[in-house]
Amino acid sequence: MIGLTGLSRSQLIIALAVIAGFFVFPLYAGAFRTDQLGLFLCYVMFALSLDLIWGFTGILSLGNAIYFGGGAYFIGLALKLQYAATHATRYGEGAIPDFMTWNGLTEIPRWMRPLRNVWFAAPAGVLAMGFLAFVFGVITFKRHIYGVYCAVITLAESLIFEELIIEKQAYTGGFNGITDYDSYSGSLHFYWVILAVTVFFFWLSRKLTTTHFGMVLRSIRENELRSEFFGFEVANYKIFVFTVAAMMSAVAGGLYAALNGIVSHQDIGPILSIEGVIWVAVGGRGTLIGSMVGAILVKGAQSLLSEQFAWIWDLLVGFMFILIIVLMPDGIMGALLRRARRRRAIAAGRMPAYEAARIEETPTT
Amino acid sequence: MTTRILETHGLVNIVSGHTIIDHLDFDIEEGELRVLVGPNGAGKTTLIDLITGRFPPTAGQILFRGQNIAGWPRHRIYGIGISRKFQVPTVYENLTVFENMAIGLRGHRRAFSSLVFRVTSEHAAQIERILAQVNLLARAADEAHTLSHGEKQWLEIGMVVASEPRLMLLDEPTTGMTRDETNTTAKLIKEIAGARSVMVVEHDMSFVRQIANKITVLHQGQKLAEGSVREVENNLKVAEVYLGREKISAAP
Ligand SMILES: Nc1ncnc2c1ncn2[C@@H]1O[C@H](COP(=O)(O)OP(=O)(O)OP(=O)(O)O)[C@@H](O)[C@H]1O
Ligand SMILES: [Mg+2]
Repeated sequence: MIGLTGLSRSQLIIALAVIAGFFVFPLYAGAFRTDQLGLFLCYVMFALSLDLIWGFTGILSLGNAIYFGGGAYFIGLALKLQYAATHATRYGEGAIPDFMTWNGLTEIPRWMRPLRNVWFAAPAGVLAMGFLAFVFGVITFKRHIYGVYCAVITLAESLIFEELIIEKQAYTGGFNGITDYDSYSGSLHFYWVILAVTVFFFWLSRKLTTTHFGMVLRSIRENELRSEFFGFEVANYKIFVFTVAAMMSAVAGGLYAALNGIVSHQDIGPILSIEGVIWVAVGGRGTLIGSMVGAILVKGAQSLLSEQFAWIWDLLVGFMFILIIVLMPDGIMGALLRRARRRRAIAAGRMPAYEAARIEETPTT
Repeated sequence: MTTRILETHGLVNIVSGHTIIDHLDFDIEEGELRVLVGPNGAGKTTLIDLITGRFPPTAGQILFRGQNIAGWPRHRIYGIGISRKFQVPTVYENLTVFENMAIGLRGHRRAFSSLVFRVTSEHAAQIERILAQVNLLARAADEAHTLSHGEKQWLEIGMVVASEPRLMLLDEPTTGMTRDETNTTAKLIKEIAGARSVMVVEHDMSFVRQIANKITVLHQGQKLAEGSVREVENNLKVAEVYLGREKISAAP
C-alpha cells in the first residue's frame, strides 16, 4: 500500500510508533531529558538536510552549519532584543542587549530593529539562509565545482562565517555568543512543536527523494556526467536541493536557539558541519532514517559518556565512529538495508547466494 | 535527395598541442545506420564528445539538421535529439535497472517539472517494452551493479533508446560480450535503427559486417576511407593503417 507518505503499511506503523514514543517521552522523563531530546531533534533535522545534499546528491558540504547557525542567530538575536527591552541582565542595564553596551553601542542599529519581532525574525532568517545557499550554490555548481573542491570551499565558507561572528561582536555577542534571554527550555509545548517540525521535515524529505526528482538526485550522485548527457541541468538540481536543505537547517537552528537559550559561534562553524557528516556516515547515507538514527545515537552517546566518563568521552566517541565506519562502510542503516535486500533477492530466486554475497561487499558510493 | 541529419565542416580539436580531430568533414544521413571504425586513438570517441558537447571544438562547425550546435551546453544538445552511449558502459550502479530506464525516459528534464513527474503505467509499459528488447526484463528490479558487463551495455543502449533521440551515438556497444550476445546486439541495433539515425563505433568486423551499409574509417582525426564494407576492406590505405594485417578484419 502506497499512500500519502509513500511508506508501506508496516513501515507506517513503525513510524507512527516511533513518533508516539517521542510524543509521550516527556510525560515520563524529567525536564532536563526532555530539553535534551528536543535539542537532539534539532540535530536530527540538521542531519536530514545534510543527507539530502550529501547522501542523495553526493555533494559533500562541510558548511551546512552556516545555515543552522544563521537561523540560530536570527532567533537568538530576536529573543535577546525582546528580552533586553524589558529586563536588566547581570551585565546590562536593559533596553539594549548587554553585549552591545560593552561594545559601545548606545542604541540598536536601525537595520536590526525589525528583528525585535520574533515572528518577523523567524521567516526572515529562513529566507535569508535560503538566499545565501542559493547564491553559494550558483557560484559553486554552475562552475562545475564538485568533490573535494566543493568540500574545501564549503569549509572555507563555514570558517569565514565563524570568524565574522567572532569579529563583529557588537552585533553578535562575539566569542561569548548570545545568552541571557528567555528560552523555551522546560516547555512541553515547545518540545512538541520541535517534534512536529521534525516529522514534517522527514515527510518533506521523503517526498523529495521518492519522486522522479529524487531519482535524478541519486543519478547525479552516481554519475553526474551521464546525467548531463541525458539532458539534465545538473547544476540546477544541485542548487535547488542545496537551497531547500539550507532552509531546513535554518529552521532547525532557529528552534535550537529558542530551546537552548544560548547561541555561539560554534553553531555556525566547521566543527558542527563535520559532526553532521559523522552522524550521517554512522547512520547511513542516502537513507533519511539513517541520518536521524546517526544523529541521535552519536549525540546520545556523547552526552551519556560525557556524564559517565568526563575525561575520555570524546575518545570513546571517536573510537565508536571509527569502528562503525570500518565494520559498516555504509553506516548502520546501509548495512541493514543491504542485508534485507539480499534476503529478498535470494527468496525471490533472482540471485544465487554467491552473487548476493557480492552485493554485501560492494560499497554504495 | 536525402537530407543530412549531421554534418561537420572543418572540425578541429586540439588537446594540449596534439591535433586529435584534424579538419574533419563528416556527415550522416537521416535514418542512416553508420559504422565508424579506426585504430585505437583515431579520435572516434573524441568525435562523439565534440558532437554531444563534452567539450567545444577548437574550430569548425557541427550542423545538426542545418543548425550549428558546436559549443552548445550538453543538455541543449540532448534536447534537440542527440543521445550517446559511452565506450565504457556507464549506468547508475546503485539504481535498479528500472530506475535507470526511468532516468533515460524522454521529457521532465527541468528540476521543477521533475518534482511533479510521475512514472505512469504508460511509461512503465514503454520501459518494459524496451527492457524486453534488450533482454533485461527479468532483471528490472535488480540494481545495475549486479549486471554483467554485457548486460550493462544493453542497459545503457536501452536507456538511450528510452530517451528517444533523433541521432543515437553508440561507442563500442559490444565490448565484453560473448559471440551470442554480440549477435543479439547486432539484431537489436538493426531494429532500433529503422526509426532513427544511428552511428556505431566498433572494432569487431564480423559485427560490423552484420549491421553496416556504409563504413567510415577514421585515422589520426581524418577521414581515411568511406564506403561499403567490401570497399573499405579492400582499400589499400586502410590495410596499411592496420599495419601488418592483410585486412581490416584482423583488427582487434
Ligand atoms: N583528455 C585528453 N588529453 C589528451 N589527449 C587525449 C585526451 N583524450 C583523448 N586523448 C587522445 O586523443 C586521441 C583520440 O582518442 P579517442 O579516445 O578519441 O580515440 P578512439 O578512436 O576512441 O580510440 P579507442 O579505439 O581506443 O577508443 C588519442 O591519441 C588519445 O590519447
Ligand atoms: Mg574510443
